[in-house]
Amino acid sequence: MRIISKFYLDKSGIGTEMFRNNIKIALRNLLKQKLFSAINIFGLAIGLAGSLLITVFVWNELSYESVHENADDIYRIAVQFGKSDESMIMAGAMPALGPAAKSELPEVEEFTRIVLDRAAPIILGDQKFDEKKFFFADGSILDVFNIDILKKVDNSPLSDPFDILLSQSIAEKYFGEREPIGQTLRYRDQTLKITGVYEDIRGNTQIKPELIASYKTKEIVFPSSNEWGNFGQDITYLLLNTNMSAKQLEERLTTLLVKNTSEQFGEMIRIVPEHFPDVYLNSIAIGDLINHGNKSYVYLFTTVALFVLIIASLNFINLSTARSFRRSREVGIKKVLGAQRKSLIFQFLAEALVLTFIALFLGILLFEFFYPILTGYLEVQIGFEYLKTFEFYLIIVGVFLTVGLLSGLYPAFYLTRFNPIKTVKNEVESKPGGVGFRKVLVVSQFAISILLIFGTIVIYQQLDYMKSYDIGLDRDNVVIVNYSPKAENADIRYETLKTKLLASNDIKNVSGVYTLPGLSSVEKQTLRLKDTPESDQKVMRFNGVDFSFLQTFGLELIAGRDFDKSFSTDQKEAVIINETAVKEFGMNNEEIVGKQVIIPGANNEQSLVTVIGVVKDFNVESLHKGIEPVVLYINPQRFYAVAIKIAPNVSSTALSYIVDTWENVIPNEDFSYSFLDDKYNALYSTEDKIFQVFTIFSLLAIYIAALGLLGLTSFTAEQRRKEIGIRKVLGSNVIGIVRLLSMEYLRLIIISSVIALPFSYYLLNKWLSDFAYRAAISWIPFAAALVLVATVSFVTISSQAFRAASANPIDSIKYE
Amino acid sequence: MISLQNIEKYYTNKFVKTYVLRNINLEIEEGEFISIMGPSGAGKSTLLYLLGMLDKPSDGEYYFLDEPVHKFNDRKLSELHKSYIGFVFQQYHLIEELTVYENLETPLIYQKMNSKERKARVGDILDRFNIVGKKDLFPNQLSGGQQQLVGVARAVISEPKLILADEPTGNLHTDQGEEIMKLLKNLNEKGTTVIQVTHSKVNAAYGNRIVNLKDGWIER
Ligand SMILES: Nc1ncnc2c1ncn2[C@@H]1O[C@H](COP(=O)(O)OP(=O)(O)O)[C@@H](O)[C@H]1O
Ligand SMILES: [Mg+2]
Repeated sequence: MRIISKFYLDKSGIGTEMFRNNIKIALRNLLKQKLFSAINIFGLAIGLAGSLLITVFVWNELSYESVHENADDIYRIAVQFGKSDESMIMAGAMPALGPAAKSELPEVEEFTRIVLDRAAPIILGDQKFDEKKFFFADGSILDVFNIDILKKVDNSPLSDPFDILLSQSIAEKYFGEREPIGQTLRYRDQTLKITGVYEDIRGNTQIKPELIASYKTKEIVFPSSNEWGNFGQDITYLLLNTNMSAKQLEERLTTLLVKNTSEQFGEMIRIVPEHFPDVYLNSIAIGDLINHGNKSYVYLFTTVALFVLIIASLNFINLSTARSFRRSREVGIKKVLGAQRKSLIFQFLAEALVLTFIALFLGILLFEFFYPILTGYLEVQIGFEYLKTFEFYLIIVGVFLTVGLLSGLYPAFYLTRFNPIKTVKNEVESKPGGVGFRKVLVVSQFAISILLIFGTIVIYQQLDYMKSYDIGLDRDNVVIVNYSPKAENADIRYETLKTKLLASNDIKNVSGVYTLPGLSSVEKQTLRLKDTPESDQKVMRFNGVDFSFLQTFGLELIAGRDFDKSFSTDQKEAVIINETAVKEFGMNNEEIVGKQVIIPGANNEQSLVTVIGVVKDFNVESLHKGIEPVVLYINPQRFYAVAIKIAPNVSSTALSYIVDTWENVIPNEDFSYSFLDDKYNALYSTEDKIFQVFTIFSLLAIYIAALGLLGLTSFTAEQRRKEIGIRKVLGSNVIGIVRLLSMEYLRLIIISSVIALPFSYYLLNKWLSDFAYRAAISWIPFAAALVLVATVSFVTISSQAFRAASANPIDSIKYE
Repeated sequence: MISLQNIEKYYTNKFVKTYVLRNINLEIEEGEFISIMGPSGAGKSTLLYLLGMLDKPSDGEYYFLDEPVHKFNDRKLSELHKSYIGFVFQQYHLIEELTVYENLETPLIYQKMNSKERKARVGDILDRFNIVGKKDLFPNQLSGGQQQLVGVARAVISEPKLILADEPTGNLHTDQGEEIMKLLKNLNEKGTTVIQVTHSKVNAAYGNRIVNLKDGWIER
């Protein structure tokens, strides 16, 4: 037992020596294969950086409202008019709903109503400001949401008419260093008194007011005629004190509504409570405080991020394990010298983890560098809140452990398994094992690359298709000027403006509109043909226009006549409808002209109008939606925009003429304009961004995949150096060798494309199904993706193969 | 020192046993210098690795310093061999990524020797083998003879009782080989037991006994 006892005496401090020794070997290995190591580390680093970038965007979309402590207990109450799925949901509820809910439902702890003035004219001495985030709100806004008051006059700074709170940055913008409290502002002929200042609201939330005036101010500036009858303006939030489903809340509120109005009104209206944190991504209500996010893009991006990360990780694992095979001899010798398997396994795992750590560290540096560049490029405002999230670190640690362990486990257990005799007797094949595993990795990489490139091309095609699609109206040379119908005598003022504009030769036509055709959704309303039962009621989109509407937008009349001032009845009793509307009525274009239509209005009133003409179909909204039945009528009281058709190539002179005329006619309102085609292209700005991001990341993916391939082929070439030498001595030429080395990978690419094709076709079809108008997916983008991937791979592979093949065979044969 | 009793070694391939060593009985005293000879494929290397505890016999008993090695588990075997046995290979088998100095140091690290003692040992051996000037070179910067010199140095650095050498001069020129053989002889004279495999009668003559192996049997 003398011998045995000696073994168990452990002198401490030796573990570190062994570790140092191992680190030395690892580092020298890395340096010896510089290209290989650089590819390996860099590939993972950029992959991680890329997917972190996307993750931060996605996280931002998913974590809306997390800045508000009460978010989970808040419901936003939207309202739908008409109960069919077709009917539009309005983000705003009736002004009386919030107060009634609080006083009559015990579950409702608090309510707050927000009314947004999107273009608030603020006058401060001789300065004018146009504020876009001007809120009117109940004082409870400060309790319901997290808004930090920095200073205030008393405990209820929003209780009186004309009270207003400013955000810190607005206060600084208006008053600089001066004390804002107690100062006054002019707003729409009223004087508002500043009663407090609150800290700017940062982060991703809908509640981002820059100024908050008291609700009582709103009641004076924009009085509501019917507290229970009007809705659409007051975005109403209820803070609950118990858990309640949206369904339950809907029932309570409906009961409340019926109690305060009538059974019939309750029949017409659906209350739609929406869980506050879900509003941003899930709500389809219109007239909301901010534009909603898009869930399917969140999924799309998550998938892309995952793909990029997977490609980079596969690469890393692949290259690491490939390289480890040249170390089987080292393992054997170490075993002979007395190393235990345990310590060797530990060595490989530690080495892999250290390498992964270096790559991740580099990746995070890259991320930090590109983060501001990318957010700037995509014009999104995302702060650094992600740094506070657990998930962000979870991803990094998760990647670290997964990639580190996976790339380490395989060599750790595979290589150390061998009996050392085999290695020292040179019996272990120098050919790396795990070839099947490696092929699976390469195939998955290629498949993902092909998918992403294919996706990029299809998205581009769809974008191009939508932008160049003939939506049935002429959108060239049309200047759109924003117009406010709220002023007194807005209709008369409009006529003056129009007459003066038309005096110029550069201006061909002028038409005020309620909503711009081809750009945004229009009001829906019910109507039916005269002498048909009420059950034949149709829902159509109504747009209030001017007599010159069809000409200004280049719309084609295909039956009947255009609006005409000489018919006095055209002012109130004539409509023009589109082809789709005609079909909806079950008639043909000629038949319908002259028919009368009943339009039910408020308080059981009805208007009877005549169809005077039929206009060729045009798209009412973006091409995500199909063509809908449209009814055009004359309504100069409600123009929100004036469309001005100008002669070609005179835009600058025409514009200055328009500005002059505007200042002359409407000197007290700001002039703002845009071109119709720009507005039209902006409809697809989301898709533009998607496309840009997709392009960047699919390029990134193929770049990483190519890097991996480069590493792998240079490795194989080195492995087969001796074989190549012998083949050359036996008479093979360079081309033969290149072919030998490349064929294997080209076969893998073909397998990948076979896998990628159905999968990517399915995914992209799903994406396209969002659009009513879609470009057909042809084989061309797929072929293009394939050719691109194949070319990049071929160049990569053959460069390495060529190098190996051109080497002097004697060198490689003597080697060993 | 070593006693092999009825040692058998076979490999099973698709249920067919292929015998490599048959009924080996061998006694080796401390201080012997033994040369194992025989045609290629006779099982010489297999026997050597068995003796070195890198491999296990299929059957039979192996006593090393009176310990029943055939009953030991891997851990004990590894401990035993790293304390008592040094190996020299035909292909030198130095670790490519480590310098001469570091290669020599490695077995000492596995023996958990402290760094001061290690330094002294390595310095001593570099001196003795006259390779101080080469200590910072990597194996591929040395000639074959020099590499094997380091190989022998590495085998003896932990002062093993037994050195096993598998065709140590097989890849060397005659004069380089002679130097290595003299070195082994010298070590043997100072008390280390040496067992070598060799094809050369000249080299075999350095030993005091020759074991002839043929088709796995010891020839008497
Ligand atoms: N792992 C193994 N599996 C099967 N046969 C083996 C194995 N290792 C060695 N052998 C066989 O054992 C025999 C002896 O090998 P070895 O001891 O290396 O011979 P040598 O005397 O040339 O050193 C050879 O025929 C060899 O093929
Ligand atoms: Mg042999």
